Amino acid sequence: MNRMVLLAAFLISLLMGGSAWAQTPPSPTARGEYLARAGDCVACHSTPGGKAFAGGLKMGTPLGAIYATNITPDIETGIGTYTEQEFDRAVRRGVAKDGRRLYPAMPYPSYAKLSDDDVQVLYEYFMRAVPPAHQVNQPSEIPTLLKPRWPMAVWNAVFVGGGNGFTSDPQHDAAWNRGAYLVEGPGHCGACHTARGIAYEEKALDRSSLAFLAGANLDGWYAPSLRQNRATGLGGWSKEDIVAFLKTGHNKHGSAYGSMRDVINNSTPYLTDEDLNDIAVYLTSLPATVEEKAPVYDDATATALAEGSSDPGAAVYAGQCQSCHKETGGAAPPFLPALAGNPTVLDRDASSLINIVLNGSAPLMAKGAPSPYRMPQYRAQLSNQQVAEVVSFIRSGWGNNAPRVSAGDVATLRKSTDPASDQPVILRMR
Amino acid sequence: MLARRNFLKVSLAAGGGMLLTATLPAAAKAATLGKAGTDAVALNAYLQIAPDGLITITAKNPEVGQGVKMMLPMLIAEELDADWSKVQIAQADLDARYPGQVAGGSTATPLNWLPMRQVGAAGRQMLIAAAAAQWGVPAAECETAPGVVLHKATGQSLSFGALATQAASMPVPDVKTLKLKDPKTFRIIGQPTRNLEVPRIVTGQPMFGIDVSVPGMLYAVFQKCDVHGGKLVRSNVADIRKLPGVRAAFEVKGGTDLRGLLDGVAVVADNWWQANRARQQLDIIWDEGNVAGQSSHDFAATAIRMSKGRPESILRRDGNPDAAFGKAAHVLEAAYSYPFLSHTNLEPQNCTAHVKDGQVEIWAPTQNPAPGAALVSSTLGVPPTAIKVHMVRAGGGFGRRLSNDYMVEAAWISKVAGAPVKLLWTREDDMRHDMYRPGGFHFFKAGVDANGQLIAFRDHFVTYSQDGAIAASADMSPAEFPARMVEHLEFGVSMIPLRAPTGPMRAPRSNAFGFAFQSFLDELAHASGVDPVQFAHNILGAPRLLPDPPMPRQGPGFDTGRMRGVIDLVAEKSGWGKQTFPHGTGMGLAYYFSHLGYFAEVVQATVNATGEITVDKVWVAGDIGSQIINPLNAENQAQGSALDGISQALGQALTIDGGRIVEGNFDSVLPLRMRQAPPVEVHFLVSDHPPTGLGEPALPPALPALANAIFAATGKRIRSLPFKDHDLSAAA
Amino acid sequence: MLIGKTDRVEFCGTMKYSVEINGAKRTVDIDGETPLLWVLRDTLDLKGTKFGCGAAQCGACTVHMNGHPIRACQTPIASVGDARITTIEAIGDSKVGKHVQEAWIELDVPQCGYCQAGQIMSATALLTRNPAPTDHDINVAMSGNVCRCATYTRIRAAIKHAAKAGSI
Ligand code: FES
Ligand code: FES
Repeated sequence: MNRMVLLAAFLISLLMGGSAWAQTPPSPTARGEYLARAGDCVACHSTPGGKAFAGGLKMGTPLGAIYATNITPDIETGIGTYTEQEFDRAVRRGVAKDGRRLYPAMPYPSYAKLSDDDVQVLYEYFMRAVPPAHQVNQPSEIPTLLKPRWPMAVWNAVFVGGGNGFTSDPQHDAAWNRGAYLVEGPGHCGACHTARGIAYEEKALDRSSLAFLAGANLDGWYAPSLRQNRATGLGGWSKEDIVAFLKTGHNKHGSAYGSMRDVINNSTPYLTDEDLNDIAVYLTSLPATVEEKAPVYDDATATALAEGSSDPGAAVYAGQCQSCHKETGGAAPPFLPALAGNPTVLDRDASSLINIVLNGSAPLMAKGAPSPYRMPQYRAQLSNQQVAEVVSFIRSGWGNNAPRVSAGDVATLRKSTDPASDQPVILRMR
Repeated sequence: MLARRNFLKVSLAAGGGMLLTATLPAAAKAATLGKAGTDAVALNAYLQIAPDGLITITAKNPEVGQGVKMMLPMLIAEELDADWSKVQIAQADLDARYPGQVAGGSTATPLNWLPMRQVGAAGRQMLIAAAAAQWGVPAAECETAPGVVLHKATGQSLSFGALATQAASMPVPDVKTLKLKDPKTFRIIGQPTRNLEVPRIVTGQPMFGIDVSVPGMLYAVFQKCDVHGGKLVRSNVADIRKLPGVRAAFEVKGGTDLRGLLDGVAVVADNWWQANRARQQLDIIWDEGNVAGQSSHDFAATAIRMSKGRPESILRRDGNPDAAFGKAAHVLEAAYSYPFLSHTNLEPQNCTAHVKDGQVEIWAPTQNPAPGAALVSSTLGVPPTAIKVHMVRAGGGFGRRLSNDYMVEAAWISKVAGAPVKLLWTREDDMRHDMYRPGGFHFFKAGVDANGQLIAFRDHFVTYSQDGAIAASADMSPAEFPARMVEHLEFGVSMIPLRAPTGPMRAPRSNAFGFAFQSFLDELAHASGVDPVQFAHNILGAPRLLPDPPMPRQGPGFDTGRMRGVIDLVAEKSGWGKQTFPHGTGMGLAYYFSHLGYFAEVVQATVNATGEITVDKVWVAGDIGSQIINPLNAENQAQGSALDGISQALGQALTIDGGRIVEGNFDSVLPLRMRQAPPVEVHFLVSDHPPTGLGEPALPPALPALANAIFAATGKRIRSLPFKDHDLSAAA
Repeated sequence: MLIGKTDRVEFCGTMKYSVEINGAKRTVDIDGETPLLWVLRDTLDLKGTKFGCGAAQCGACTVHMNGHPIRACQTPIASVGDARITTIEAIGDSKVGKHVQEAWIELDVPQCGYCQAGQIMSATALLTRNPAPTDHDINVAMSGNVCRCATYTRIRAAIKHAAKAGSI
């Protein structure tokens, strides 16, 4: 099967298309599909080229690899025999029909916030609209000693609590509350953007803690802070910037990468403008964790590049990066991201930047169309030392003021990461 | 214009001789008259002379960067005694009047060396005959100087331009009566001659296939299955038709020949970008067949398993190698391998085609237009006479353009779209739909006696089969070196089934065998404590000619003396054995005979503490016969070939996974870059043999010479390509 | 149903762009995401700038933006703005560009010639900024330009030749 592309979007776009939505209330199945989009279920429960929601995606956890399960309504291998209550228990509590505890790679701590109504339409969708696929689940690769899943019950008791639903905040308007629901609940943004504790638990599950969405390192990527930090967070982004980013994967500040690529490819561009706006309203209300100065552009770097700099990082930049990202570090947003003032460049944790230089980025898809420009990989062309030099150069150029990185940092990531595919990874929803 | 003109038809007779015949004037309306204008007069199918003396010489072969568009006209111009400054060159179309319109196998020089000179000599004789008739003197008393015919006795002279009209009405001379120049008097052949195309190249004039533009032309892309031979089940092509700029989008049902028209979806739009953007939104369900499981990883595992058993077939056996190993002072075993490769022509495959009213007109950067026309004819069901192929300058050939898959695609798309279209592949299309240089595995064992003489040699060659037969360009000659020079030798072959198209790549077979055999021979030299130059002398023995065995590739045989000659020359020029290097730097030697050319190369390389390889310098010595036709281009070709080899060795490999090629662009298949390119010094040994070609034979020794240099520098032996996959930091 | 132009990617859509190419203002009506390369080749019929990889890896599409070498395949037309674009067709109008072209002819650099427009654009930018480049300078400035025929030996020599011509 072609893993290149899909237009499976078309049905949902039909349904979501502005006026249609307002005039005729969509069916429960359609609303369920919309919610499945918002929750990006497909990103974990499908493999490129595989059947929709048949599972099989390998996910690394600190304990070992696990495989996402078949959540199609197949009687034998999927969730075909699940009652709505059993479905609910799996989604919101992390307990499978047979009583086994799910690994917390399934973001049920977030899904615990789903409304009853949303769980119901999600069930409708999976049982009625998703075609059953016969595909036996793969066992996890977690060593047998660690395998008994009862510790998960303890984990759940400690970190999820008793399945807290979402409570709206009367001090904020409906838009804000809808945004909070989407981000904390189905969107499960914290799964990547909130740091995890020693037991792999997200340090915070909602806005009550400054740790929530404050940025986290996961699987060789650093998912940046979504809080109002001026340099390393969304402090410099307008609501429109956030909406544009969620719709297309790009805006004038940067482009999506890492697992955010999957979110763009399968999830947020399918949300309504209203929902995206509400998400932006909510995100821009999350206070900064620290006072940060917004980066001030300094053209000394451009001048040095024009005149020939002796910095070894500048030489790599001039040879490999400059013809696209420009002497000014300004590139061509929203198509090619600027490096000057880019939050990903400025983060203390340089994992994402190093990762992108080593491995390039897979094409972003927004509603069926891949973005026309993408970063090539340099792992074969640059040594660890050269990557470290050029990344350090970028992190200190044009007014950027992030710390240097070492060849050792690069070596570690080189070992643990793989080159990005040049073909868009698109998962079918049907 | 003259009413009556004669034309020469030059073609190679079956026996290798030449035919020179007159053809009908109507057929001879020259393809491109250029500035010569309508007053120009054609002396034969290759020659047009205008009254002002401007001579237009038609170059019959496809130009892919090898310089044949200069070389063939130089041969004609020499014997015509043309004034080179008045020569312009026109490119022939595919045309039955011209024999052998192919760019491949370094054959243009050996096949055309005599015939093209005869064409020029015939022209000269007709000009002389015309002058003699005007002056009323015997032709034998006339001679030529550049651009003029002279009659010394009367002091008369007439320019070629003034004579052209009359010359064209002179009888075409019998080829047997033609007198060719004494090479000592050559004025054009052998002179460093600048390529007349360069001024157009450096100013960006449109001249490549990708630059072709015809009125009403649309732009096309074609999406095939990345698993070779996958069949189209269904697609959302109807949606694609509605995208901006799209004029047509349709499914194509192709055949099973991986070199012909395959299943896919074509998108035709107002400009290429729109076509390709629309194509990126295709959603296609493919039936990938049962080859989706093929992977490089499994191939390697299979090869190792096969190496443990007997070869499936024995290609050659001399003496008794097993017994001889027992008598050897040094016995060595080693396994070598090399990957699949893409040709990576810098100009991706493209073709412009216009199918209208049963007529097909094609503009193609092809190395092999005639089979392309035949493929179009059989696929579209049009008679060969309805197909016209214009050969357009190609941005690199390297063997890729011997196949014409892109030509038949363009023709098909034009036919369905009902408009002239330019089909252009992306780089990813190009890498994932190549006729790959086949990978391969060699499991060697050899024995050297106490005198440093190779006495026993065995290769179990594991290669690939396609539909039960050996895959294209994946075969080995029973005469592969060092066969015929070792008393006890066995070449065995086993095959792994493959479903991916393979084909010739610059110095086919040799580009890979050179690395494996010449590296292993270097291992043997070192293991037996013999200097590699001496070890080569020991193998080659006394100068003598070893005739080729019958089939598959028959040639004039292998001359051990000529091989020794270039080895000695390169050793001398590189200062072989005269210097001692610090650890981390070393020199390696390799030599190889292919495409009638004898080449030996020395590489000096340095490996630093982080394992980075720097190629410091390359010395090339070649023997391609008695005459270097254009030394300026010869040096360029030899340098380019050697660096091409270095490029392959350092950074190129394709990986097959799930039946598809993983790599897609130059970020994962690494071409050599300026910062890696060493100086290359080229020397030719002029020998008393017919001149031969230079597109290929300088390539094969470069890879093993580099591998051998790295061994000399570090003590680490690299037995698989590419080197980028080897960590040398511990060795340095 | 399909993805229409307007709801596909919000910054896309046909628009008029007025750009300065080789000293002349040219107006094109095109999707802003379109790379400069295809505007040059297909819309403006300037075919000297070549396509080799479409991924900033080969340099065949190198043109000058305000005198700096950039990859036209990675330059959305929407991002060109007021910048001055110079292509191979006009590089000979500058003294340095002319010297470089002459050096290329003098030393008979090309084989297939496909990469050479890009090579000349990069070499001209280098020599304009640095009239006497060292081998290292040449390596840095020219390593983004692939020559599949591997004419590197002559490219290096021609750059030095042009540098000398420029200094006389
Ligand atoms: S085509 Fe732009 S760099 Fe290769
Ligand atoms: S001359 Fe052929 S790619 Fe450079």
